Amino acid sequence: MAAGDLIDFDIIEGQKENIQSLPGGRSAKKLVEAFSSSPLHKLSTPTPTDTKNINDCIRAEYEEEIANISESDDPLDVFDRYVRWTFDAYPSAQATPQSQLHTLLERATKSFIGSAQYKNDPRYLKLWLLYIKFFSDSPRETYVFLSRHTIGETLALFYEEYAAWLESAGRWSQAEEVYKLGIEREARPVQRLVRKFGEFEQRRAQDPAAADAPSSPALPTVRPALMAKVDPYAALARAPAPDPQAPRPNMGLGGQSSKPGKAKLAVFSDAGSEASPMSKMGESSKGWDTIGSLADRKKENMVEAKPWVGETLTTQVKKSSGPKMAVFRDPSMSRIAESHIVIAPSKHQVIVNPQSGKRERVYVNLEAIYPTPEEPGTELSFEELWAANQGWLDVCWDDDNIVEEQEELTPRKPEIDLLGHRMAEKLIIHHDAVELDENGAIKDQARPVKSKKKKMLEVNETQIIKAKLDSPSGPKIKKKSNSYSSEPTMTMHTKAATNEIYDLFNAPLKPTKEENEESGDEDYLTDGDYTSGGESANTTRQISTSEAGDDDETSDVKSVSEWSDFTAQKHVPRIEGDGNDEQEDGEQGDSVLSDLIDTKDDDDEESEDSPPRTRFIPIPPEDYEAPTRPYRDPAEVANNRLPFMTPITERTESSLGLITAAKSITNKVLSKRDSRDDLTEEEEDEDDEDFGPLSSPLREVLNENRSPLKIAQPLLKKLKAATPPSQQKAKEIQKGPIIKELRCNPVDKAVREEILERMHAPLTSYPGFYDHRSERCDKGAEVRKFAKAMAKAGGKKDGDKTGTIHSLPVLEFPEIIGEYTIKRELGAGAFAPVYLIENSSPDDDDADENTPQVAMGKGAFATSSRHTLEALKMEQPPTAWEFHMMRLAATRLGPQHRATASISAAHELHLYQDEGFLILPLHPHGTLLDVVNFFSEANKAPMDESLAMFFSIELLRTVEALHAKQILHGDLKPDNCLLRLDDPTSALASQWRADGSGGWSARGVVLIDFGRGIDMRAFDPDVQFVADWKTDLHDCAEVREGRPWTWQLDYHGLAGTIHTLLFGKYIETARADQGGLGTSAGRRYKIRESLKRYWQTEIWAECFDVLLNPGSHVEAEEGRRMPVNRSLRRVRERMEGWLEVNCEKGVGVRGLMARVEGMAKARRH
Amino acid sequence: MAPAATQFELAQPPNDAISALAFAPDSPSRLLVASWDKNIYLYDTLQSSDENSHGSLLQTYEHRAPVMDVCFGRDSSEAFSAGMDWQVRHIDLETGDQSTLSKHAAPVRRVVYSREHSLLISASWDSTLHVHDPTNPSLTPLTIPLPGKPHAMAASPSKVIVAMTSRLVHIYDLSALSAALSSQTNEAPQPWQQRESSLKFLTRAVAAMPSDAGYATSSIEGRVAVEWFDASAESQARKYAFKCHRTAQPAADGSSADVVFPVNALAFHPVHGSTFASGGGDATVALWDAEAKRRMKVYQKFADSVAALAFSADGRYLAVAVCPGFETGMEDYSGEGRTKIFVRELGENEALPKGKGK
Repeated sequence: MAAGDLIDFDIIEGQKENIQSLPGGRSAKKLVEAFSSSPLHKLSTPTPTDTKNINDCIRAEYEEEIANISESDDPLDVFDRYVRWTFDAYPSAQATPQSQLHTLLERATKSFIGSAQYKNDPRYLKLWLLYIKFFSDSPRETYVFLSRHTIGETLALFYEEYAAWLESAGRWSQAEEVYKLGIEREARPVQRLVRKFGEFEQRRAQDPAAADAPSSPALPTVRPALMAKVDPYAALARAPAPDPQAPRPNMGLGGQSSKPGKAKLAVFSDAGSEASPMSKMGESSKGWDTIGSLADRKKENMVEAKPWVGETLTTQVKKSSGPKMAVFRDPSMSRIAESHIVIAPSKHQVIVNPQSGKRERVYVNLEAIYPTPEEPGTELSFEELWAANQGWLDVCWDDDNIVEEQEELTPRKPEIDLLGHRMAEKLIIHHDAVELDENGAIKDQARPVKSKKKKMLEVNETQIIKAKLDSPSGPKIKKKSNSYSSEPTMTMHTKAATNEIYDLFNAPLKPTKEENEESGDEDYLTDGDYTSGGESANTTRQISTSEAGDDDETSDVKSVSEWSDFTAQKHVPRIEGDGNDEQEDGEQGDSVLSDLIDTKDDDDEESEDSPPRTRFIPIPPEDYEAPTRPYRDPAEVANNRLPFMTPITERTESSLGLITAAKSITNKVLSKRDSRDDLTEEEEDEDDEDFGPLSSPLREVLNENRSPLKIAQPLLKKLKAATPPSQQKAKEIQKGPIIKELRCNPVDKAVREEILERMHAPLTSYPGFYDHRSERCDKGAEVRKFAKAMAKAGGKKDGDKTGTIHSLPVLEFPEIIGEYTIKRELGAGAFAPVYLIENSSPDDDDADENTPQVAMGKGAFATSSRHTLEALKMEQPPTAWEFHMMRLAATRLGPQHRATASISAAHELHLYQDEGFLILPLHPHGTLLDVVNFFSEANKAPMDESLAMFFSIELLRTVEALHAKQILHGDLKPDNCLLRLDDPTSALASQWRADGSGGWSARGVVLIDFGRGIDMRAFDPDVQFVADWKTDLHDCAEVREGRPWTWQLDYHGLAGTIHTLLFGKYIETARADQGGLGTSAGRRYKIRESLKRYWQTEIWAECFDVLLNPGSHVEAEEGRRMPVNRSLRRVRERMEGWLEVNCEKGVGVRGLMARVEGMAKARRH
Repeated sequence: MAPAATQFELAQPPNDAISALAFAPDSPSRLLVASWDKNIYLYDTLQSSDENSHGSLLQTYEHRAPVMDVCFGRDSSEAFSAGMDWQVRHIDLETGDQSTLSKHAAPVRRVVYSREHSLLISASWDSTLHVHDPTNPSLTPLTIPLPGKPHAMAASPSKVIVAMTSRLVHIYDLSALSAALSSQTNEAPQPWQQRESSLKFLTRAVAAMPSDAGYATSSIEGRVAVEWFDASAESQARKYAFKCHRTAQPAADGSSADVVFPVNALAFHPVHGSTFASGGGDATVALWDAEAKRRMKVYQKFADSVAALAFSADGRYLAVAVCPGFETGMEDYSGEGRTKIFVRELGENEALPKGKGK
């Protein structure tokens, strides 16, 4: 215990390194106080908390004083004491965060910048100097700042400090300048300043390098001097440079003794002017109002705190995590990934050469080679496949096993086919494999093990596939399954392929008595075993309820999608809702659905309720006898509606041995016997069963496994549903328009979707409709590219000898026996380019397809026989609408109707997720526009009136027939009217007959492009349409004027077409009434063009009047509403009457027709 | 079939599919055949045991597991085999003695011997290369990790080309390997070049030009690429790939599509370095001129897929291994009875590139 007065230096000694030196020295007493926590224990080191508490108290006192600073006589004193206390209390320089000296000094200095009182107060200046010493990032700037604000202007201390700093920075001349300035200003105490200057001069004399020092003014003139053109540097330059070699003579004490030619004079020379920096505080301090706190000055180094809301983190951040990942990855993987190309078996198994269009089928089973194409480095060589197949890969050749292996190997020779043997070995081998995995020895084998868990789930399928192979599925089925496998979805495919490989990993497994063996082996569900594991799982299934089955499926979401689609369709029946039984069914389906469907499937369900059913369009097998009832026949409907779930057909000899399966088979047989119509359903079942096997065994297995359980009942019910009472109900409900709105956009996607979904003969019931909406085709781009290339190649000759024969892309559709080779582009629409294709099996379909069509009343199309050359329309985005409209038109008209010949048939539609391939008959003769152009080129005049009338009659008759069947074409124009020359060789009578005799019925037009077609039956009779497309002159007045319309669209199109025929130019209309608003009936239009006087002006005028102003002709119509078929017929009959009489005038219609035919023929070559 | 004088079938062929053929370095008639029936067969192709058959089976060397590859050592008295049993074996062909030279952790796919550097390199599905010096067994074999599973390997006088999964191709400099081996460093030498296959599909076979200028690779999708070692841009610009081993499918299934077969085997002619033969799943063998980028010949179709090819050291004979291919991943495969080896005696100028000689 030292006496109060004595200072215990031991304490200080111990803390020396923690004490920051101060210019003015420190009070030892204070230091001791600071370092001893209490007077009682001065020797012991104070605990930080003690010190902190005390200091916090004192600080609070100071802060209070500062808060009341405005009351204070000497506010600076508060700061002065506060700062001094801080220095004492926190001797350590490192303690600045605690001492808050930095902010304190900033506060202190800032408070009095503008204060005249303290401007020359040494205490204030000292605060500044402390600030400069400890914290200023650029002391010089701060000094200049002080000088600007004339702080310490009269204090020698300022000049001394500044000069000292400059000197320490080696800026001798600037330091000298500062000294002199101070002396000039007679800064107090002058004596000291002068003395210091003298010392400085001495030091400077000893330093030869001093002359090199920068000599810019220590206190530069303010930048505004830029305008004053006072260049301190210039002044310097003028001054003779001081000799660096010669030490500067001691200036002596005479501060005033100016040295002529000295640079510093520059400062003084302008004494009276702005150049004097020190005196020019006033204006010149602009921009120097504040030097800013340290935080201010360094703010660009800080990230400003911002609220989190709405902050988007850039993805760049992720990049940095890249290398982190690499730590955990096999470094080689990155390289593998780089060079890896995904070979999707589905895409690459059959390649269409983009240049030649030739199809190439890769012989290798890519699914086997690339089991997981997305995963780099997982492809397998043939040897691996076979080795795996033979079980060699499972063998561990670690030396300790060798003896054992040797023994086992003997019976393993391929020649030995004893099944039991094989299995036994297999099991042993698998034990080995497990050991090996534990050692982590083989990468290859590790893989299967990794997915062990998954396997547990998938367990069933392998074995089912086997069963499949064993089952006597016909070749047809095989083909179909192939087709499905060729276009699976990504996930599906991967899984499928993996499974296939896993499958391969097992020696062919005769599904006989394995259950016994495997029962003891359940722990080892590795590789080969899992087949048998599947068997056991299956056993569980047998006793499980259907709910259990559901659970299983829910657990494997991936596999579900197809399946759930499949369930989704169970809703469909409800719409057509027949029978309570059915309803119940639907509900059951519902519950299943909710179990199964993830969000994606929900979407599915909403947007395309009926489409799912389209996935199961079967191809009739050879022995398939088509149901002769029309599709709308309720019995059929009921069938179509049934869930296609029972996949297992005759499979009695398969190893499944499932009771339930057997049950389903019984059901099957039963249903077959009971109702002939069930064939359809059966077909679908078969299809269902097939769609999976190669693409995704898993999915297929799920279906299969469930089906017996889930389906047995529905099946029975279905039979009931097919009975007459429910038929009637079904029929009733089907009546009435689908779209109830009175005003809508008929080409709206949603509207169309709804119609497609809800129409009573569902899309899928159309023969020739092949739904792959769940799949991607990925051929479209290729075809388009090819077409482009073809267009580019144009006339260029392929001179390449090595001879990539310009081969053509080939489209092959799973359900079609033949294939379509794309020849060239026929027409490039914006959304639907049309290609010429070659059908490899032109007439095959006749027997297969046509007959049932006729029988089913779906219309044996006069034009539906298949030809070698056909047209392919690729709609983008793919839609079934056009196909639907064409089929609808053909169906409603019936095969016998004359107009049917004038409507293009739709052979097939292959609808994929990304493409729609609409196969149409080829009408190679060109369009009416071609005819018009041909005549206007040849004759320099439009075609003869009689020919125009002939075509007009054809058009009027066709449109009239369509309208009578409530079908709007929607896009009538010359380019959509193809020339129909069914049999150009047949003799043509010179006398034209309205009934088409004399060969005239074989000539005419064919309407194509039903893409904008509207089925008026789907709408309310009073519906009014609004169009959303961009209108142009070719649209009817209502559309152009934004008024609602219905049939007017076709009438105007017809008028336009006839106008083009007649005048050789596009139609232009003009108001024929007095203008004004008028009602839709009140407005009248006429064509601008005037009819030639030698024409049948009356007929034509009436024709255009009816077509352009149909609203005013409704009086005569049935129900006094459009369509104005009676008026149309009247016009047509007038035309026919005239043409029959005048057909032989002049060249005659036959002669004209001959020219047209000649043109068409020339066109083809 | 071609006249018996130029092409004959070896008697006593292996019982199962053939994985490799190798002619002896110093004898045009010694032929080693590695088979999936777990044996290596040594034939004398010219010595006939009786009138009706050609060639004679001198000896078989049984292995524990199918033999994936075989190559001769420094002379016709020793051979090395790559086995499904993970082992690389040294076989004394005279005595029939076998010794395990190296052991991988997975089946060994390929084995090549470089006489120039007396190095034996084995490539295994455990994604490693093992490098041995058979003449100096005291040296610890060098293990080189590979980024992928190797599926084909070939050695030129100075390089060894390893083709792996993911289309990776590594080229190692043999002298570097040799140096690394003799220095017994633990550090695996880096590949001299890392490349990607020019072919999109899995590499099936690699063959190196005896001229040391480049190599050819083939893929499972009927294509062959010829590349050059020289990394200079102009040399690289010379590399090319072409389609081969495709047949237009008869209209049996209603299509006329080309069926693209895998190219299973490649072999460069040891004398006319620009000539190489390719054998494919379409059961044909074709001779190509790598320099002129021309096909020189297509031999008559064999009964089954061509599995392996080998030129004799003097270039006079071309051995063709024919057996059903298992590229389709079929399950019940058996090469028995259909496995055959044909030896074709090449005419004087048969393998001579056009424009040269005469």
